[in-house]
Amino acid sequence: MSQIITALLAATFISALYAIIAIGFTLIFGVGGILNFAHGAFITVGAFAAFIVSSGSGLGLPIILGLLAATLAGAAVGGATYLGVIRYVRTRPVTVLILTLVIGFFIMYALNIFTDEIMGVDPLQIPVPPVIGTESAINGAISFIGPSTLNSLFIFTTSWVLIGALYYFVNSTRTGRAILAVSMSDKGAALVGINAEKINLITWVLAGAFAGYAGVLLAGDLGGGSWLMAIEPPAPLVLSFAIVILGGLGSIKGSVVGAYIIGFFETFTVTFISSQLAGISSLVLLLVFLLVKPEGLYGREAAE
Amino acid sequence: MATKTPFEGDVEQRRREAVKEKLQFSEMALRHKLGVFGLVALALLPTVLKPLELSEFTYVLFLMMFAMSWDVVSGYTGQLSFGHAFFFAIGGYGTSVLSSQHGVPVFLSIILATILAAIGGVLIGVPALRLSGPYLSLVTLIAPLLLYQSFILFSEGTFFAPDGLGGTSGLTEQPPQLVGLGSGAVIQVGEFWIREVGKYYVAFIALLIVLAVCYAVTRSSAGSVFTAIREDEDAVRSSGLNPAKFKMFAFVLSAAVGGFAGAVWMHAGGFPNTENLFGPGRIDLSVNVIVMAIIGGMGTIVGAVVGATLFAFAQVVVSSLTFQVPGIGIQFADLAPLPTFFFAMLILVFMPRGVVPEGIDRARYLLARYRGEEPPERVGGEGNSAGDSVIKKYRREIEEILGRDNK
Repeated sequence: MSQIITALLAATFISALYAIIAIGFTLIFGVGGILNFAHGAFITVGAFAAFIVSSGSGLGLPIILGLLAATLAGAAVGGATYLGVIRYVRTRPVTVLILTLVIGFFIMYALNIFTDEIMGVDPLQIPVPPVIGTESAINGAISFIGPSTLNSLFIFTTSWVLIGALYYFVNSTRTGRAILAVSMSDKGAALVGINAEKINLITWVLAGAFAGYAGVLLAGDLGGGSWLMAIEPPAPLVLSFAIVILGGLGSIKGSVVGAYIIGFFETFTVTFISSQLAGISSLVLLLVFLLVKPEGLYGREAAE
Repeated sequence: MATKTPFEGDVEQRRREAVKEKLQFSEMALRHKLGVFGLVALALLPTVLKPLELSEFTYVLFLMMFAMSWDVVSGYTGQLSFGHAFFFAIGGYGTSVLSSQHGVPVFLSIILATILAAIGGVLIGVPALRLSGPYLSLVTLIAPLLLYQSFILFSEGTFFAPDGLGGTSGLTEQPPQLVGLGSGAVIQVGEFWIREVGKYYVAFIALLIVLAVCYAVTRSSAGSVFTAIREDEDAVRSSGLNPAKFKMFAFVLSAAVGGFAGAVWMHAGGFPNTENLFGPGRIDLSVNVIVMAIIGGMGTIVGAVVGATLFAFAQVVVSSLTFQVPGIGIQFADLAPLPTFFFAMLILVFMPRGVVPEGIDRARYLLARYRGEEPPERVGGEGNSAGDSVIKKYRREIEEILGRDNK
C-alpha cells in the first residue's frame, strides 16, 4: 500500500517536471508550426548556466540565482536562435527542422568544449544541486518531510504556477491573444496589424525560458547534468516530443495532460514491472499511441 | 545515331545499341563525365595518400554510402527519416554478432545482416504508411534510441547474442576482417600499408555496389514513382499505382543499403560500438548523414557522395588548423566539430537546394554563355527541385495537423 502511495507521489512530481519540459516545445510548434529539435539543447543550456553560477568551480552563488540565470540564459539562447537563423528560413519547414537539429548539436558540443577545455570539468557529470537542498532545510519545522520531497514540492508548485501564468498570459493579455491569432492564421493576424515576426520572437524567448528553467530542475532531480542530457534517459528532447504528440500537437492543455500520462505510466512500469524499463516504456507507449490515434488527445483546441 | 521508326529492325539489338551509345564516354554530358572522373579519382586515391590518411578516407566512403541510403528514401519519396543510424546499427551489430559469436562466415554474415536491416526497414516502413510529417519524424527519431536502449537491456548474454551486446560501450571483440594481418582475416597480408590499401578497396567495391543499386533504382520507373509520391501522393494513387507499395520498397531498399554499408564497415576496420554506429551523442550520426545529403543536394544520389566528401573535407581542414583562437585560449582544432556544423548551417540557409543542383545550374548557364547560346532558364525551369517539393509536402502536412486556414 505504502509502495503505491510512494509511486503515486513520485509520479505526480515527475509529471509536473515533464510538463515544464514539454511546454516550450508546444509553444513553438503551436505558434510557428516549427518542430524545434534544439529544445533539448536549450534545456542543457539551462543546466549548464546553473552549474556555472552555482558551483564551486564557477561563481559559487546560491542555486536560486543559478535558477534565475538559467531561465535568462535559456530565453537568450531561444531568442538568439530565432533572430540569428530561424527568422530567415521560417517558410522552409524542412530546412528549419534540420537547422534546429544542427543548432541543437552545435550548442551541445559548444557546452561540451567549454566545460572540458576552459573550466576543466567533466562535461558528462556536472554538479547541479536541487533547488531546495540540504542546507536550506535547516529550518527544523520542515525538516521532517526531507529535503528531496521539499524539492519535489517546489517543482510541483512552480510548475502549476507557471502553467497558470502562461494560460493567463495567452488568454487574457493583448500580446497573448496576438500569439493565439498568429497560431491560427498568419494572414489573418497580419490583416489586423499583428507583427508576426515579433510574436514569433516572443514565443521563442518564452519557450527558451521554460526550457532553461526545466533544465535546472531536471539536472537537480537527476543529481547532475551532462552535455548529452537532452538525449540520455529520460531524454527531455524525445520526452517533450512524445508528450506533445500524445496531447495533440500545438495544444498547451494537451501537453500538460500528456506529461501526466507519460509521467504516471513511466513511474508505474519502472516501480512495479522492472527498473530496466526506464526510458523505454514511455517510448513504446508512444509508438502504440501513434499507430492507433496519431492526432493526439486534444487535436487543436482553437479549431473546434 | 539511328533514326529508324520504333518498330523497324531488330528491337533487341537496337536496345543494346542505345545502351552502348549512352555509355560512350565522348558522347556523355559534362556532368556525367565529371562523375566518371570522380570515380576514377577515388579508385586511384591510394596511390597518393599515406596509409594513415587512407584509413581516414576509408571512413568517408562509408559516410557516402550512409548518405546515399538516406537519400533514397528521404530525398526521393520525401519521407523524412531522422534516425537512419537505426539501419546502420542493425547491419553493423548484426554482422558482428553473427560472425564473431555464432561463427558464421564473413560473406554470409554480411548478407544476413543486410537482410536483417531490410526487416528493420519494414518495421519503420509500416508506420510510415500511416503517419505523415512530424509524426513519422518522431517514429524515426525514436527507433534508434529504442535500439540503443535494447543494447543496454541485452548487454548480458542472450540466446541470439551469447556474449551479450555490451551495453553503452559496445561489443568488445572486432569481427573477423576481410583484409587483415592476423590469422582471422579472410585475406591475410603481411604489411600495414597493404592492409590499409586492402580495406580501402573493400570499401570502394562496396561503394560501387551501393552506387549501382541506388542509381539503377532511382533512375528506373520506380524512381519516377518515388519522385511522384514526393510531389503529390494523390496523383500517384489516381493513376492506379499504390503509393504504399512504393514507400515500403523505398524504406526496405534504403534500410538494406544502410545495413549493408554498416556491415561491410565492421569487416573493414570499423569497430562495432555505439559511438561508431550511432555517434557519440546517440543521434548525431543520423543528423550528420542528413546534413551531408542535404549539403550535396537531396534526391540526386550523387549529391550524397559530394556532400559526404565536403563534410569530411571540412573536418580535415578544421583539425589541421592548430592556431590559437584569440580570446579563449584554446586551439582552433579543439573546437571541432563546431566549425563543420557552422559551415553546414551556412549551406542550409544560403544554398537550400544543395551544392550539386546549384552547381549544375550554374555550369549550364556558364557553358551556354561560353558557346554563345541563349542561357537556359535558371531555377524552376523544369518543375520543382527535390528540396523544394519535400519542403512543400512537409508544409502541407504541418498545416493540416495545425488546422491552419491559410493555403
